[in-house]
Amino acid sequence: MDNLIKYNQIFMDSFSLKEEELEGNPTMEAVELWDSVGHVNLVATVEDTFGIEMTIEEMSDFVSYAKGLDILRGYGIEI
Amino acid sequence: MIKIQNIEEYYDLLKQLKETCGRFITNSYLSVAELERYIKLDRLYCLKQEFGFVFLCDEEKYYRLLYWLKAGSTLSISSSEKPIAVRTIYRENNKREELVSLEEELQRRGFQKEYSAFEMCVPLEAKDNISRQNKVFLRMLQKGKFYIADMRPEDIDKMHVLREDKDFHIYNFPYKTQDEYFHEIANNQYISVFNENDEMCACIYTDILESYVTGDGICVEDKYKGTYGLGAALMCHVLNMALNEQDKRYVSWCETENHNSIKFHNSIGFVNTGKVSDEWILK
Repeated sequence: MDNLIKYNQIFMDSFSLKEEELEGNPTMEAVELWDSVGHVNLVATVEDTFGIEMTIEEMSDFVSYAKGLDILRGYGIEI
Repeated sequence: MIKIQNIEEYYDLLKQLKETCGRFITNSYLSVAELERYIKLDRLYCLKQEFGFVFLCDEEKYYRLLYWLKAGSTLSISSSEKPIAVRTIYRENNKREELVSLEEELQRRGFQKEYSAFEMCVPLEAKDNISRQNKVFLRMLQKGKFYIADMRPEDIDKMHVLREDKDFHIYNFPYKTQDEYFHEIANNQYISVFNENDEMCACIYTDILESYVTGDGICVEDKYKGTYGLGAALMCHVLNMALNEQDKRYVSWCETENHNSIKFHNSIGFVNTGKVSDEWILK
């Protein structure tokens, strides 16, 4: 549960989103601040927070809130 | 208009000014080396004014005007075969009276304000964040089979083409000889992004000064714009070099009307320093 709170906080901080907006599975296409720089900041923050290093494919696949959860679960992180 | 032949001549003129005019204003902060370069290239001219001098640096596509004038004096200058550019720099919301008066005089002489820019910088405190971003950007580049390396001499022509982009004003680029470009390239001052076929897709000029690193705007080939994040990756690479390798902040100018550029600079960690520059042009 703590991990989900951390993950949600990263999204809210990175893209100025409210918690309830996360329920709609925000995507790279729909979120204005989620551009190439925003994406890099998101990946770097997620990696630092959860102590992982995404592969190039995972970085490319990380195009939505839900996809990010899947990637973290792939690293054995309970979320 | 007289051509300045040597540095002594230049300093004699300034000595005359100091003796006759007392308090004066100037926008000229050229070093001796920079002045000697213009003189050696036969590109420094002087126009005598009633109370002072203006110097014109021939930048090939335009003249850069540097003034040394008695505060509040009039300006005697008319349009030429190429535009004349005057840059004034001041603190935001704190323009000195002498500068206001000079700008009014410029307008009376037919100069128009072409654009304004504000200074932005990435402070040293951002070094860890930039380092983290840079590592991710490098992996993103690998995905598209792009890589960052020093520009090659054979890329100079392409760089000039990229600089013709509508986002850039000619007044941002001073004249340089081919030898000077070669020298700067050998000095690793141009950094580029290349694709898997070793073709240059983006580039930036950087200059490491005593207390900070600075550079031009990033040029990106049209077909790569907004898709691969090449500009952001290149900017981040240069910032990482400045902050983490040189241990210096990075300073750049951003046009006040270029909202995409402002957004980009803010997102990557630039902050406004409060310094503004206006570019006045006589066509």
